[in-house]
Amino acid sequence: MKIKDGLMLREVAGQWVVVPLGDNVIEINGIVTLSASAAILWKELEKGVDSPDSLADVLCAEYAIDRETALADSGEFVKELESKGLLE
Amino acid sequence: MIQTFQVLIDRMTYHADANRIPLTGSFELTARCNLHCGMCFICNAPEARKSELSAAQWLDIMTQARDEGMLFALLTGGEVFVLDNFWDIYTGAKRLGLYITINSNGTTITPEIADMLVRYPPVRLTITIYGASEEGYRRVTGSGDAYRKMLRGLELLEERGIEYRLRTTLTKDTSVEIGEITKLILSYGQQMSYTNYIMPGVLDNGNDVLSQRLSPEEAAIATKQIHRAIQEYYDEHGRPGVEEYRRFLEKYNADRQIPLDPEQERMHKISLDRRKNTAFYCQAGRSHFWVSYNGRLSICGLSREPSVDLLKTPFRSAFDELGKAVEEIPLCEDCKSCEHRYVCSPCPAKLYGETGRYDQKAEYLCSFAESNLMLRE
Repeated sequence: MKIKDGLMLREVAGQWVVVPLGDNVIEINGIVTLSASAAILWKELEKGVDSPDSLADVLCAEYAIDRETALADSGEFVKELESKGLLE
Repeated sequence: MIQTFQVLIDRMTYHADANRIPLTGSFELTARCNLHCGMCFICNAPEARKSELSAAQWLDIMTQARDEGMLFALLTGGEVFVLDNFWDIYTGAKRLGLYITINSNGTTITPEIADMLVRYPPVRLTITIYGASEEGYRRVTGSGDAYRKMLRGLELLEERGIEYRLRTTLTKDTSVEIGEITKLILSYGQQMSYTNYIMPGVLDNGNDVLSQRLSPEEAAIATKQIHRAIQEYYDEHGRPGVEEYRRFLEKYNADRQIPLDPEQERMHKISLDRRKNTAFYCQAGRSHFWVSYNGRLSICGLSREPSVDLLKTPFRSAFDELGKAVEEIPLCEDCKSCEHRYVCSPCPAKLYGETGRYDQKAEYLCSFAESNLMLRE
């Protein structure tokens, strides 16, 4: 799983925002913002991961949460990205 | 999470203001234009063309601003599509990770330009129109054929599903058919939007700009004509977009209900406190900046001084220098205590343009505010 080309994650004025770089077919009505934890997952997905399990590992390393919660959160995040067409 | 554009900008602005982050920038890429409107304070001044920056220079400035936190950029002119290097600048700016708005007069939009806008969509394209007939365009811009070109430009955008916003400028010449202009804008499914302030000239471009400025009484008459035209149009065609607007309002209000987190609250308070004690109530020089056609950084398009040369000074230093200069601009005490200040919104840049001083009230603006009040009664 990997974030589509043509998207840039930026931290600006206290917000993590996703900016389309142009020459892409991603249509977003509004601006996509991410929480701090979602931004961490996004950065992993920019490199490419094999499965949501890898994302759960990252969340567990960063936050004091149990694996079940981490799996649920990362799975939900991936689904949301997929629904918006942001993953390859 | 996808937030409405305006709610997100508001929240980011608190943070940007409190931390002096140049969140939004306006880039006046050129003073050249294919039209010759009588109220234009800058277009086609001979000295301007000699000072234009290259694409590399623009992108260097934008990169520095981006690295300091710029997210939103407006590309304006003059008319940006007359530039040979516009697409180099624009696509380069997009690759920096910016949300970009483009201003145009619409007459220069060709099929090729429209195709490029499909491929590289701006977050907003704003088209300013100057009439509703060939005669109207000839009166304002010097070219009757520009009316046909403007319509063709809009047609090309419509065919490709490119979103745009229309607006106009209220002047002596445009006010002749302001009702028709209003209805033309509405016929494209838009809301009427217009600028009604003509500032004194910036460059010597041969225009007697102030001769196009409406008196407060004339502006009030024109405003009534606009309202009448809107009513007539909706009486005839119905009011479009009500359902869409209702959905937008629901989303907007829902987003506004998301409480500020403690850090955002703190930034909001810092931002408000700053504004109470400075002459500028807007974000000019705080989280917004303007770069003129010759690479000089100033706080907004209405205020060309103070300014710093970005070709000689790094962006961060220039922005900080400008910020300090803005804080030293004196407040107009008459305006601060004026009962009409909420109708007038006294802008120090306008005061300076009108009187040569930041702290002196301007009779023209005072009369305008009184006229606006009478209109509301």
